[in-house]
This record gives sequence, C-alpha cells and structure tokens, in this order.
Amino acid sequence: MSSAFDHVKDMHDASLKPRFLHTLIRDHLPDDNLPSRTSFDLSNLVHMIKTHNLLSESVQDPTDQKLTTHWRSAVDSWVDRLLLLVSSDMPDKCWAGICLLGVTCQECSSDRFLASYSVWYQKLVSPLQSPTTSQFVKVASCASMSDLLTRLGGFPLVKKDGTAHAGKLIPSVLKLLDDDHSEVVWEEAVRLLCIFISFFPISISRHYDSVEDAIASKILSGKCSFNMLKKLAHCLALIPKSKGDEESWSLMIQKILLSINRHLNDVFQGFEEETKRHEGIRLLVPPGKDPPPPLGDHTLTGEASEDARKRSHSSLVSSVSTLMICCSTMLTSSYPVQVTAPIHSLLALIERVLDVDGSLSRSLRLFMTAMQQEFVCSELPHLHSYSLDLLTAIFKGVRSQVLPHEAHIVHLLSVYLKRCVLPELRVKVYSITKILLISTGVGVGVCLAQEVVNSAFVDLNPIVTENSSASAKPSTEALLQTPQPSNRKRKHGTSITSLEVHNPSSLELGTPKNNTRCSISVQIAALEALEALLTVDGVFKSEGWRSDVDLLLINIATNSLKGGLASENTSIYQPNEPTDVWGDIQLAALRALLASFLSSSRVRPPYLAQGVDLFRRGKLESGTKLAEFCAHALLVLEVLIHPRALPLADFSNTTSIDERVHHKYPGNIYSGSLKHRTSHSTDMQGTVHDAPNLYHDELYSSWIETSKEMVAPGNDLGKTMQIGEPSKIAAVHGNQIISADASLSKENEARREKEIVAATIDYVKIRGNGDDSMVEPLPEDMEMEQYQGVTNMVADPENSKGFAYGITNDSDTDSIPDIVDVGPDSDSE
Amino acid sequence: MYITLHSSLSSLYLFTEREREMGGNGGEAVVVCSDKSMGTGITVWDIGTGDRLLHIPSCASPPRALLCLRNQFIVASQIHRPGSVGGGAISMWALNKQPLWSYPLEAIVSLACTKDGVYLAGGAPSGNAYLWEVNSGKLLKTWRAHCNSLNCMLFFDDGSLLISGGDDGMICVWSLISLLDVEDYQSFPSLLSYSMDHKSSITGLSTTSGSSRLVLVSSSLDGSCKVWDLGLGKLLQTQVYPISITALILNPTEQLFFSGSVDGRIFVNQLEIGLVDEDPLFAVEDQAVVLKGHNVSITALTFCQSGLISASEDCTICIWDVTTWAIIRRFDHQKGAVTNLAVIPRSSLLPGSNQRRGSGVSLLEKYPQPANSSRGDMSIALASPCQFLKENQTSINFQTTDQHIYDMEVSLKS
Repeated sequence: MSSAFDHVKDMHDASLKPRFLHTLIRDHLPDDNLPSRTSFDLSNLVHMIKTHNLLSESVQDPTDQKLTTHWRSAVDSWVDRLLLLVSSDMPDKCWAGICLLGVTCQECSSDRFLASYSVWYQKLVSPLQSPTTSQFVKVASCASMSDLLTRLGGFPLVKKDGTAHAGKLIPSVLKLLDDDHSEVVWEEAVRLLCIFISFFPISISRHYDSVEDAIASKILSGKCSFNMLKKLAHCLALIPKSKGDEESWSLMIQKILLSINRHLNDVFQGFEEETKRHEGIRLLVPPGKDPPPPLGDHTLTGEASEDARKRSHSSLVSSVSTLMICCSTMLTSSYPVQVTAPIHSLLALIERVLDVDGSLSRSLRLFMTAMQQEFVCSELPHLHSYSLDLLTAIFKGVRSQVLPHEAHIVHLLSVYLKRCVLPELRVKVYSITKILLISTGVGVGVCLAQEVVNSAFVDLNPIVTENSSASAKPSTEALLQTPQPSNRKRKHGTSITSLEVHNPSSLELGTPKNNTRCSISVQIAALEALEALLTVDGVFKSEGWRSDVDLLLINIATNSLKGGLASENTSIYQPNEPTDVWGDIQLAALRALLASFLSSSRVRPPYLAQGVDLFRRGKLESGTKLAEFCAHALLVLEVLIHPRALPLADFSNTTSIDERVHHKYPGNIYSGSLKHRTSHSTDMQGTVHDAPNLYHDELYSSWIETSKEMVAPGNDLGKTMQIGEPSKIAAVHGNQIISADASLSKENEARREKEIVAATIDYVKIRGNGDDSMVEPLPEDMEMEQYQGVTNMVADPENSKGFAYGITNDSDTDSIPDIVDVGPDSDSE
Repeated sequence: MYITLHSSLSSLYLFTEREREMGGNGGEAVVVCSDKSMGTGITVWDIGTGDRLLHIPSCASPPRALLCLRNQFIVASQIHRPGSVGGGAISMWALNKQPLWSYPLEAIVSLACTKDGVYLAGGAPSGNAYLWEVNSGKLLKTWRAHCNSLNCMLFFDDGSLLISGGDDGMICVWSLISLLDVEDYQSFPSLLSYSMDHKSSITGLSTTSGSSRLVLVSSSLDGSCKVWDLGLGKLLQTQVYPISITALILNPTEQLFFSGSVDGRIFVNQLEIGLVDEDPLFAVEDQAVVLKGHNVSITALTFCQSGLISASEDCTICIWDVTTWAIIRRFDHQKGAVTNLAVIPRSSLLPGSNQRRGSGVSLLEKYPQPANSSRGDMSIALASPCQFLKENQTSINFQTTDQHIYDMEVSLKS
C-alpha cells in the first residue's frame, strides 16, 4: 500500500492503524483458498486489534480525508474477508471468520455496526440453524451472536429491530439446549438467553413458558456438571425479569421453593419428622389455593416426571443446590418493581435443611439402610452450605425489612453455631453473624453476643493450647495468660477466675475438638465476628465477656505476630501453611484488637501498651496489607491515647484580619471546654457578622490536607468496617462518628449490676391477663426498699440512678415485665 | 481522658458544606406546620434564599409528630382531622402529590421512623405504641408501652432499638427484634431498660450515632436534660435549668446539645460523655451560651447544613449560625404557632425525584393482621432497575468471543 519509506511520526500516529490492519489481513488472516497459517494465532490477532483499536475508525482530525478513506477501505476489506471466511466450507476457517466477526461487532465504529449488523446477523445465524454444523462452529457463532446482540442492546433506537432478531433466534437456541449433548454449546446458549433477557426482554416474554421449561428441565435432568448448573440457575433467576411484573417473580420463586421442598421430601425421608415435610409446602400454598404448576411442568409430563422421581439421590441433591442458588440470585439481583418475598417459606426451608444432621429417628432405623444414611450424610454439608448462602442472600436482598424475622434468624443461628463443626460451614455461620451484627447492631448484639463469644473462644482456643501443650500447662491458663514482654512469670488475677466462673464449659469443649476446628480460616472468621461484635455492641450487657475477649484478642494478636514476623518461629502453625494465610490471620487479629481498644468505654483498654507495640511492629512489614492497617490503627489510636479538644480554626498563624475575627467571637464554643468560659456568657441575639472569605479558604485547604493524610494509610477502607475511622468522618457527615474514649469504672461493677436486675425488675408490674394490661410503676419508697433488700453488694448508691436493665434470664418469669399485645378486641373495654 | 476527636473535622465539614451551597448545587428546605387548625397546613421555605416554595393545605400536627421519610414523603399525624374514628389520622405526602390518609385506632401524638424509612412508629395518648412497616402499611405490632401519653419516640441509629418517652417522665428502651418475635424464639424481654428519673413529661430524645456506646439525651418539662449511657445503664450527666425544657437536639457532630425552653431561650450545652469520674450534675449557671431569639416556648429544634433551626410558639422560625450563634435568617409563620420542623433537600421537591426507588408507601393498617402463614412475607424493592442495567452492560460487555477463542485455542493445542 504505502511506499517503503513512508515513515510515520511515532507509534501514536493514527495513519499507522490502517497500515497495521492491512498487514494483518495480508499476513495473518486465514485465506479462503490457502491453507491457514498457524504462525500467528487468533488470540494474538485479536489482541493486536484491541490494543491499537484498529477497527475503531475514529480519526482525531475529521478533516484528514486521506486517513479517513484509507482506514475505511482497510476495514472494508477486513470485513469482506471475514464474510468470505464465514461462508467457507472448511470448519476451521469458518470458525475463525465467525470469531473475528464477533470481535468486529465489539470493536467497529457505531456507524459501521448500525449499517451492517443485519448482514452479520444473517451470517452468524445460519450455522446455528443448520443441523450439520460442527459443534465448535456452533459455539463460536453463539458467542459472536452474543457480542452482536450485546452491542445492539446499547442502541435504544434499534431496540425494536433487535427484539425481532432475538425473537427469531429463540427457537433455535432452545433447540440447541434440547438436542445438543455438549455442555459447551449449552453454556453459550444459556448465555445468549441471558442476553436476550437483559437487553430484549420482550423477545423472551413471548416464549416465556418454553424458556422456563427448557432451563428447568435441564436443571432437573441431573445431566449437567455443577458449573453448568450454576449458569442455568442464574438464567432461571433472570427469566421473570423479561416480564418485569410482580406476579412472574412471585410465581417463579414459589415454583422453585415448592420444587426444592418436594425434592427434599425424597432426600430427607426418614431423617426428619413427618410434620416438617408438609410444613414447607403448606407455607407456600395457602389452604384453599391451588398450587402452581410444578417447575418445568410443560415438558416433564407423565412418565418423564416419574422418571425424574426415581433419579438417583445425588442428582436430586444437585438439583436442590442449584435451585437454592437460583433463589439466592433472585433475591440479590435487581427487579424493576417491588415484589413480595416469601421470607417465611425461605426461612422455613433454611431451618428445615439445617435441622437435619443425618441422625435417624429410632423408629425409622429399621427402614433405612446404612448406605442411604451414608449418602445423606455425605451430601448434607453441601445442602447446609447453600442454605447458609440463601440466608445471606435474604439479608442482602431484604435488608432491614427482615427485622420481623430477626428473632427467628437469631434463634436459628445460635442453635446452629453450637452444632456446626465443619470448618467451611463455621466460616459461613460466622460471616452471616457478622452481616447480621453490622446491619442490626445493638438489637442483635444483645441476643447473640454470648453465643458468638462462646463459639469464638472454642475456635480460637487452639492457637494457644498447642503452644502450651509443650509446657504442659492447663489450656485455660495458657489462653488467658497475660501477655508477657519477657520470660518473667506474672500472676494474673481476676480475668482468669472470671472466665472460669463464666464459661468453663466452652474451654473444656475446645480441647477435644482441637483437630476438627483448628482451621485457620475458621479462626479468621471467628476473629471477624468478634470484631463486628465489638464494633457494634461493645457495651450492651457485655460485662460477662468483655474482659475475657480483650485478653483473648491481645494474646492472639501477640501470638500471630510472633509467628509471622519472625518466620523461623513456626511453632504455632503447620509449617506448610501458605504465608498469605498467615497474613490474613494477623490482619484479622489486629483488626479485632483495634476494635477492642476503640470500643472500650468502661475502662482504659488494659493492654493498650502491648497493642500499640504490636501495631508499631506490624507497620514495619512494608508492602503488606498488615503494614497499611497498622499505620491506620496507629493513627486512630493516637486520638485515644492523646485525646484532643481542638479549636474550631487554627488562629496561630493567621493574618490580622483573622485575628480580629477571633476577638470578635469570644463565645466560640468549639474552642474549649464550655464550663470554664462563664465569663463569655453573652447574649448573642440577632447579631449577624460577615465572616471574611479568607477564613473559609484557609479552613477548606487545611481540611483538604487533613483528609488526604487520613485516607492514605488505609487503602482497604471499603473493607474495614472500623468504628471511628477518621477518614470517613468527613464523608459521612458525622453519622459514623464514635466517641472512642476510656472511662474509668470499677471492674466488677458490671456484674453487680446484673444482679440488681432481678430486683429492679419488680418495679414494673403487669397485671397480665391479656386485655387489661397496665404498666404500673410501684411507689418510689418501695423501689428504694427493694434496692436495699436485695442488693447489699451495691457499694455506691449512685448506681441506683440510671437505667435499670430489663433483661434477665433467670429471674422469675411472672415478674418479668412483658409485652402484651393490644389486640383489636382489647379496646372494647 | 477527655476526647473530642471529631471537633475539628466536624466544624470544617460545616464550612465546606456552606461553600458547596454557595456554589449553588443542592440546598435545603424547611418544612413547618402548626397544631391549631387544619387550615394552617404545611409551609415549605427555601433555607438558602428564604423563598416560600410550597404550601400544602390541611395539616395540623402536635409537636414531634411530623417527619420526613426517605427524603420523599412528609408524614404527619393529624389531630383535627374530621371524621376519623378515635381522632387518629396520619397523612403521608409524596412531596407535591396527593396525600395518603391513614386512620389508626387512636390519635397519634408522636411519630418516629428508622433511618432507611422502612418502619414507622407512632405513640398514642393512651400510652399505646404502634409499629408499621411503611412499604406494605402492615401494622406489625401494637403494645402498651406507657401508662400515660406517649409523647416522644425515637429509633436508635441502627433501627434495632426504639426509645419512647412518656408524659410521666418514664423512658423505655425496646428491642424491636424481641417485640416482633411472633413465635417467641428468645427468652429476652422486649423492654431492654427503662428509667423513671425524670419527674415530668419527656419532651425530647436524641441519641448519638456511635456504635460502641449508646448515648441517649433526654429533656423534660421538669427542667432538666439527662445524658445516659444505655449500655452501662448509667446516668452520665444531668443538666438542670430553672425552667421547663420543651425541645432538644444534638448537633450533627454530637458534641453539643441544644435545649429549648418554655420562655424561648435555647441553651447550648456541651455533651460531657467523655468524663465520667466527675460530678455529673451541671447547673444552668455554668452555661456559657444562651441563644435568645424567641419570646415564647420553643417547640422544635433541628439541624440543617446552614446551622441550627428553631421553631417557637411565637410564630417564627430562626436559623442560627453554629459558630457565631447569630441568627442568619428568620421566617415568619403568620398562620400561627409552629409545632413541627423538618428539613428536606430541595431536590426532593422537584418532579420526578420520587420515583428513585421502586418502593412507596401504603395505607397504614388499622389492625394487626391475624396470624397466618404468609404474614411474614413482605414487599421488597430489589436494587433499582436502571442502575442495574448499566452495571449489567459493563459486566456482560463482550467476554464472549475472546473467552471462546482462548478456550478453543487452548483445547486445540492440547
């Protein structure tokens, strides 16, 4: 094309691009006649085209006619050659042409695309419709078709045309799903369907039932790999979107849940009570209403569905898992209108699955072979895992509207935390607990704190028990050992005894289960859950566990850093543990430690000195997440260690104008403690001053600086849900600000207060016969009497002031002030 | 020991916000109403310019019974609505549209909503409390919360606790999780804690947003404000005044609290939650700053970007600069005493701004639903559709052919 010495300016010269393209066509594109060249493979070709935008035809200087024409002709010949290749009889050339046409759909200019897409569509559709096409060509043309339609979806003006094209294609795509036996083809077909739903929903809604049936029967066929099943689940979850109304969504999730429950009836036969089996279905189909047609009904008729019933248990389980994924996807992906989520049925399903632990009821033992039991036991972890995922999805999708069910969920979790043993599942339970704690903070914390702390103690225990086994110490002592800077032995007082008093059982539990639970990922999850607990609920009713947790965290942090930083000291961990896992547990331990420092409001954190030392050491690990976090932690802790009462503005180095400002407003309330400024008690009524602009500008720039400084250390702020993060303060308008301070109070005060509860409860009496409930405070003198009578241990009479706890677990039930529903009939009195 | 880590940042934030406002984007409007007659209605002013933006006829709400939900709806309890059984009515305006009138069993004298606007709580003169889910209008729970009129309600920041204040000075803290626990899974009672230290009617409640400490400030007609640590169950600070306190607000950075009194004065107090080892009793003589701009009782206090807003029975609303404590704007509500204040972003008055999320409001139910199988199912709005389509476009964007080519070549080579 160009003469031998027609040099370009540099590598960015646009005139280079048409020349590149010509070279590519000439040297590397397969020719219709010649045998294909293998030297330069297709992915390199594509890479070249994408890197240099060879097909974009975007000329910076539109007056450059020469370049424009040159480039256009180059792309023209590129496309012509591709169309020739697509029509080729040789499958490999046809395949290459189809692939490159897909790339062209992505890369070419909008004008060219709009002008040519119908032609390209016809070219790509013919291999799909011909029965003789080889499989890999089919796959390629599905993939390229996906690209074409995705690009088309971006042009609102041709939506109608796109819908028509997509609509024509749907039968062939469904046929591919039905006839073909290759998963690669199915995968591409499903992807095409998803693109139809996302971009041309109307095209699908005409074939709604057949698409649903095709996908559902694939899922229930039990012939797909798990990877394929996940893709099918995603597609099934998307289908209602093509109609976009509430009814389709509800019907779909109802069908799916019914299908899951029916399958579970088969799988769990003999492993659960008979009543449970019907409950799930009863919740979904209210009495007096007809159940919806089963999922995939239209194809699975008669013997086919009977066939499905007889299928092996393993395919039943994989279908159930897939449908659960589908539910999760439906809950977490967007939907155009508000929908009614069957939360009750979802929770019932989750509970149903989590309740089954593989044990057989005595009466059924005779009807169940050991093999059946073995099978169910082997599959249960999967089912539990997907149920937990479903629970997470409920939180994500329903958010705070889950509140009416939270008591149920809390109950479910606390039961499951006690029972669950497998590391993978424990990690999931912890992460759900974390989500729950952060979203509904205090309320959940009150209910779940003790359970989380107990479990975390069990899981985190091994770190030290292994260490201590050498020195033959009892594990309790090792765990709660006060961190020692030297080898010197120190006595540790109250905390140990308190732990022994409070939950000796949890530690005893921990030792025998060492081996099963000693997984580092579980420990990380436990630390994260503890961190969340401390973050949202550092105080409420925490007197029982707080000091133990603080001690535990400093010990774990110290130990983890010991292991990781001095890499020769590997006594705690298995030597083959990959190092990034070490980093993760160090990070988790230090994050929890920081939360424990910052959330401490009763006393100044007792292990602050050791902790700060750990953060300083961690900061030295340059280039790691740990170092970043430690820098952030030190920044945050600085204001805890050296509390600041800063003035509103920095007046020390301002100009004379600003000084005047300073004198003009002596009553600036931010500049110091209010109490010592009585002299300024001025009447400020109605005085409007114009603050000079200078004043603002300087403040603004200093603020900018401050915020820059603060953002720098913590790059993963998105992940860190730390309380009191200074860098976030400006951004969230002070909503998240937390006062991280240490207040002194007596150690055991808390426990005393707990015992007061039993007494204070009597203050409110309820005449609790339903319709005539009155909250009736006792007279004040009686109140005092009660105090004196029961709480001799209250040393400080000041304690009687303040909020009385209503919570107690062990007081007489009839004295608990409880809530009585005011039903509609109760106002008749 | 004394920590004010947010003071500098917070004040700076106020300045930058003001600058932003001067630049002209955004801006806020103040919504006020009265309790005298329905005719007075709701007036909306632009805070920045002082223009009257909107007048909504027919609204009369008692103090603490008007709020702005999700920046989209004004919810107000009505005490003079004719024809309502038991005198109760709650109106909800999608801004600039027809209101939705709900008729609860009793008159509602106090309202509160969660931050995300999902739940609405109302208190009745009888002491009964009501809890609705706004989307569906479902009455999730009614219960006997106080034996006297329920004056004041407030959701804790994370929406899991409800704090109520009664006419007799009692303050109760309720756990919503336990309240809504229909099947009784937990042994936890729903009343987490309560206090009877105030000797007269509660007039204001405010909490800090910090999560590791639950700090509650309460004000009462007995002439005191009290600061509580709910977690420790401890009274941290008592501020005593010579007169009754009628309104209370924390400043956005939670360093100060403002108490409006019956004679129109507003006291500025430092929130002393960092100091616990000192005598927590403060007399009003220690006060450094008293804002004098009203002649009669303060009825409501709130904060906007420009500063503190106060409303009074003297029919005026003042906006105060938070650094100089000067009045920067004063509105005259000629139609009568102001009882309620709310601040909304100006943008929410623009047409079309209400359709942001698929969720709306429904009529609030009068009676709790009988327990049946699907009672727990609720309407949810899954992330907004247009947003998702865009996300989807970028995520789907052309992985197909490339991936396919790669896979094919790998398989061909192998």
